[in-house]
Amino acid sequence: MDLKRKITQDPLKIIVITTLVCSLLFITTSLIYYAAAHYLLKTAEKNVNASLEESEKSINVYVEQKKESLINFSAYLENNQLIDQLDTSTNSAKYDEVKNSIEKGLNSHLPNDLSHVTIISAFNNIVYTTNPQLTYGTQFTQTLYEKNIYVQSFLRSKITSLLDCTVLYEGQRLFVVLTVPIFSKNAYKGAIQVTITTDYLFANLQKTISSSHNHKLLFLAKRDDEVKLISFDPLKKVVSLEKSLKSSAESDSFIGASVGRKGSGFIKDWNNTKAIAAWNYYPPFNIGILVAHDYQTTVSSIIFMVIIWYILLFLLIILVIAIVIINSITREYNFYKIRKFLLLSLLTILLSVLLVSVYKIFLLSDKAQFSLHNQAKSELENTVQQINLYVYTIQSLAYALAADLQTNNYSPEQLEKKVSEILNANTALISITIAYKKYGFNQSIPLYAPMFIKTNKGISKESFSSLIDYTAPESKLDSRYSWYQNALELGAYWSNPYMNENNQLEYMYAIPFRDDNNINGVIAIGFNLLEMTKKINFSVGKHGYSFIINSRGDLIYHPQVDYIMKQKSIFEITRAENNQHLDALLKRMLSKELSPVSLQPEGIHGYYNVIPITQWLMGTIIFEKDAKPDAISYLHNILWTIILSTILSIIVIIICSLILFDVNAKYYISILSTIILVFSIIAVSHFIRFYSLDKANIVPIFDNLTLDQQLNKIEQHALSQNKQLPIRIETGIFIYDFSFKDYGTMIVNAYVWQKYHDVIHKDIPQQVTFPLAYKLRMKEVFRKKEHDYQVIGWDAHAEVPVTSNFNKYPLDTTIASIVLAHPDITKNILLIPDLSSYDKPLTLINGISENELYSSGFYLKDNFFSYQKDVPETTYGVSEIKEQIKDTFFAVNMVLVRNIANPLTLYITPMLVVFLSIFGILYMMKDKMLDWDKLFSAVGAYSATFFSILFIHRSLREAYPVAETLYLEYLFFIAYWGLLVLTLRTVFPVFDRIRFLGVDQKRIPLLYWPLLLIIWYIITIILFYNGSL
Amino acid sequence: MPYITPHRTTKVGILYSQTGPLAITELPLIDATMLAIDQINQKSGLLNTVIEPIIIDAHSDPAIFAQEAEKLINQYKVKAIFGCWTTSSLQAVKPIIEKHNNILFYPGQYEGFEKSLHIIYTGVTITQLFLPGVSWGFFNVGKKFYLIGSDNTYQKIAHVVLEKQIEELGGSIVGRSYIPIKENNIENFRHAVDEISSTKPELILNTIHGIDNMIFFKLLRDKGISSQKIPTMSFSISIPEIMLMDVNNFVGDYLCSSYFQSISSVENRYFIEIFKNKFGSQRLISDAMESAYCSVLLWQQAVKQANSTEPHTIIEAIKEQGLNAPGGIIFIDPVTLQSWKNIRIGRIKQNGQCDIVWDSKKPLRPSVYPPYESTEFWDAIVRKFSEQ
Repeated sequence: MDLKRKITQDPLKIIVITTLVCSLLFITTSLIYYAAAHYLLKTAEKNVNASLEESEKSINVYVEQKKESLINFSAYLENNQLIDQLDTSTNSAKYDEVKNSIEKGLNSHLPNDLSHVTIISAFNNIVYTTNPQLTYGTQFTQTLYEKNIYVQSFLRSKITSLLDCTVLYEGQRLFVVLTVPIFSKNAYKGAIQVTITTDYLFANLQKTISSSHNHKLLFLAKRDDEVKLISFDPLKKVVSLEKSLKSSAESDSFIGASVGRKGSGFIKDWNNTKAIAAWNYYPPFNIGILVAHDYQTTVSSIIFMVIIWYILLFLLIILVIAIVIINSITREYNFYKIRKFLLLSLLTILLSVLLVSVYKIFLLSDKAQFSLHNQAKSELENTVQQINLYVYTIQSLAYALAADLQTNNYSPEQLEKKVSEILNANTALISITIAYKKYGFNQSIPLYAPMFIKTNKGISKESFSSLIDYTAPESKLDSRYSWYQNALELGAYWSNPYMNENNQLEYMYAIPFRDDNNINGVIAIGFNLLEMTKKINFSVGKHGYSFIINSRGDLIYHPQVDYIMKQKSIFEITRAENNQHLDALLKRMLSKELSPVSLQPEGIHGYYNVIPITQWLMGTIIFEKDAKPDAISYLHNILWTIILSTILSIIVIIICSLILFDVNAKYYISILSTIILVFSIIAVSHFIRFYSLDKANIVPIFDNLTLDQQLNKIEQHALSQNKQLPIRIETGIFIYDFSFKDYGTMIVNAYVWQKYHDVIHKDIPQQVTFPLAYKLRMKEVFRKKEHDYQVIGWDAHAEVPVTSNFNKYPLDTTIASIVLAHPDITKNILLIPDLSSYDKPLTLINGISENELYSSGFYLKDNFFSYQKDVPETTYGVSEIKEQIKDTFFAVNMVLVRNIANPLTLYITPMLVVFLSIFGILYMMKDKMLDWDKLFSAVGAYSATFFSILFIHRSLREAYPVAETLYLEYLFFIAYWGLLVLTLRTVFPVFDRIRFLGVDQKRIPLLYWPLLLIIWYIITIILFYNGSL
Repeated sequence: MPYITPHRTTKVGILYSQTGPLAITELPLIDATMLAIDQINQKSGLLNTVIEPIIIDAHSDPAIFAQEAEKLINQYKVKAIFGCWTTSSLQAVKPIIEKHNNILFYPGQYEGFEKSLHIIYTGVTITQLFLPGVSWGFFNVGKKFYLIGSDNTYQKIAHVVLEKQIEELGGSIVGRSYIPIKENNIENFRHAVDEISSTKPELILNTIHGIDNMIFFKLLRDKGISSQKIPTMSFSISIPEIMLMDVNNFVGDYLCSSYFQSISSVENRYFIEIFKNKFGSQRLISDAMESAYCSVLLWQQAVKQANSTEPHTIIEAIKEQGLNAPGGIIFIDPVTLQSWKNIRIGRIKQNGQCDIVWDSKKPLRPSVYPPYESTEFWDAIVRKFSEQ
């Protein structure tokens, strides 16, 4: 009882005991949580093991079924002696008969999810195949290269005389290859090889295991003898190759599964997500199977409960503290102790908030990186899906037309009607060509190939055979006509883009069509992929972009359409740009080495995905430098961190001073708080000045890549408006002197040069101008012939306008833009920077001494080119320029940051003196207030101060006569109001009796500096949030 | 003398012939087994114990094999036995292992026509080895075969399989001989070589065991039959054994095996390095040695997974084991306890290494019975030869 009374009498003890009890509960809860989590994870592990077994069983059953039907089919072939007949038949009628029997057997014996079937004779000849890569009559082992899975499987079945079962990973899909040897009359006759798509099997498998336990299924394979893993995500069909997994303990499961071990436990998958997994090796396929369950979802149910419990405990502590405080106040408990306690609590809370802010600053950078990568991944996936869907439509149209031609015997008129209907109904199509084989359409016409082309006036009909003899082998040499031969050879052919007669980039899809059993010709559908790509976002971040290439690296799509037109390979581009890093990255992407691929030190990352139908490879390149955290939220966090730190430091000072210097505490508090506030204001100003630049909405051009992106945007825009592409003229500038005439005018002295091509720029006047200059003096100083170009240089003296945000003065930054243009507005000309003439990093300005720059009040932070939109509101009397691109001006930019030394000398230091004088007067008058002499001297001093302020203020306004209030001006306003208050206080002594913030009037000088700085601080913050800063 | 170390130990038995005619083949298997055991002990041991190998000499006698196996289990209380090489020794040990519910890792070549739930077969079976060998020979060398082998159960069964396979492929057998395993069997060899010389096969399929190969190849070359004229494909001899004989007599001939030292994988390079570091750079490694080495590693993996060394738990755990072994992936088939293994055909070079002319590139299924005859047929064959 005694103890209980003692405790209840001392509120602090109650708080301590409550905290202790709650801490104990925290610990207990944590222990219970870990036990529960352990149990849940063990159960999850059991479940993933069960799922794994289930998957293995399903795959086994599936494969066994397929094997059985294949063996039955081989028995059918053997019984009917079909292979012998095929291998020896030279007569085509006989061959067709046997082939029909084989197809009959295929239909009745083999499942319908076969991708293709090949029958190989004992002498390795292909006697029957539905594989478009293979041709009847050729040597199987020679057609495909030695390491090919098909060949390996065939040889294995031949050598072991046993059924061989393996997997093939092609593009993004996983196939099962089954090869069964055929024996007839006690002799080896050959083998049947079937390729089965696993899409249905794995999709079903995934569905089963994900519906029961939300598990994820993955397949892992070790490629050749290298430790590179290929993983299959059956739903997304993603094939990714993992890099140097060998060194990572986390990846033991991946390697283990792919090389034969079974196991289970925690893993981190390649998205770096923690998961519980079970894995095993599946020897018939020579791959590993891994079933994983997300760790977070396993424990999320109890995490929620635990968090609720923690919150309850925390509330309990708060409640007890509140009760104790109220109790103490009502019982008139020593308030001084409580005040200290409250300060301490406030300190703790603010400290936590500060920590959170600091954490957020770091988090923001990470988040920005993460979101950039995520954006790249998701956009890539979406785009691939969209394009796949698009090409699927094209493919379906082609198949439908092929089927139609096979079943119907159309007359030329009917054919035209049919094709016109298709062309009109599908906006994506440009043309359809139906090229019959020799005498395929009619016994009297050797070549018949109507070509239907969509034009503005309707559908025009031409004859493809009049352009070229498409059946001749030479036609394969021309990319525009090669589709016929390629489609016959490959079964289906997606062409590279080429420029058609209507100046459109046309892509072709060609498939053969049959007349009963024989190929009767090829259908080619021309489509406009660019039209479709306009709806897709191909840029990631400021510099990242996407492109599509085929397996040889030829460009199918690139943001810079010019490259596609020139039919370039992606490697030619990277080499032309001399971008070795990108070249290396692309090579690794093309070899499907890694996904994602990255070049760490260079900060370039690449993602790729395969467009399943066309097998084109779509790549996205992102640049780490784009992953800057959002400048504004970053600045907000920094500001809040500084503000919180300031408040916290002041509280700490108050507490420490109260404890250490009981008598003189207020002096220490005043002095130390002032120092802290000064530093804090400097820090805040610095960050505002530093980050405000990012608000500028200019996309800088400083290398070929950034230039390409901008040009592409401009040209895409032109194409979308059906305008002509502009003529480019390379232009360079070198500024050797610049100064400010006044706050809105800059005087620039520079060399400007341009390169005119002898042919391309034949009819263009060789001139350049500064269209916005108030004054301009230009003189041609050199002219030189360089290969096919004429290089002309001018010495220019121009006075150009500069718009600056002066209301931020002295924290302002100016981007001085000098606009250049070609004077002939009737020509559709676009000036482009002559980047090859500059060193790296880009230096446009040189030869200007620091002193010269200093006199301008700025220092140069950066320089770059840009394109600025400035739509003219006039046609300048030339009507056609409306049709041209005149809304893009070429500009040279200089980022000028205000040199703080100037305002510091001219305005800030005098104001500091003024405030010090006021402080001096206040300090002198703190004891005797009603002395008339002192009163007069004080009012006199205030007046003198007022005029000094007015003088400085006037000179500031004269220098910057802008409409808005300058940031620095607020300092003057504080001074005016301060003087007014002090004068009133001096004249009317009644003010003396009012206690201010519990402080005696005599102590006002103590509050002077902290108060002044706090007001300045608050103004800064308000202006910042108001958008003025 | 048993080899005993004074630690908290897990005892395992190593039961091979250190003396007698089979010693030449079986002694290296002890080395390979010891290499794996030392490797484990040097790292961290097994479940906080040191593996203590009890090495016993079975004197090339099946009866002694059985007797010593009994002793290892009863007297030394071993948790597993690594041993046996011939089928007869395996057959002798099998009932003992089964009776005591223990576990035996058998690295030898094996008919495959039976299975025991207590024996882990880490060697290759007849179907895995002989079918690829003869088929490759048929498609790449010639269609007329001569079969020669030791007069032993394994070889006789192997010859039945080979005959069936040749028949399936459409090839022909021009002659066959069995050489009794005894001293002074040179006359039998001479007779066989004369027959080869007269029948002119295109490929000799050889399943002669051990040192007898020396006589056979010597007589062949003396008769003027070079490997260019009539090449031989051997199934039951390894490179280390060849190096003990005259390698010149073997150059240009073929070997069919699951392991060759010339395999270029990282795992193999590491294995060769540690083996040569321990036993000298002149030593060579055979497929059985690789199987013996892998047996211990597979057992260790199973022990770790089961967290116990008790044989009955290991029998369960071993069914889930696989290993990225020097010769490629070894995976224990959970149904038959035989190993999925890669198979290769090599051509012998002067330096005792082989050029690999064919590689299965993935582990092949260990079939208990060859597929083209019924189970009853194969059982009858095994019974017939065993009784003989």
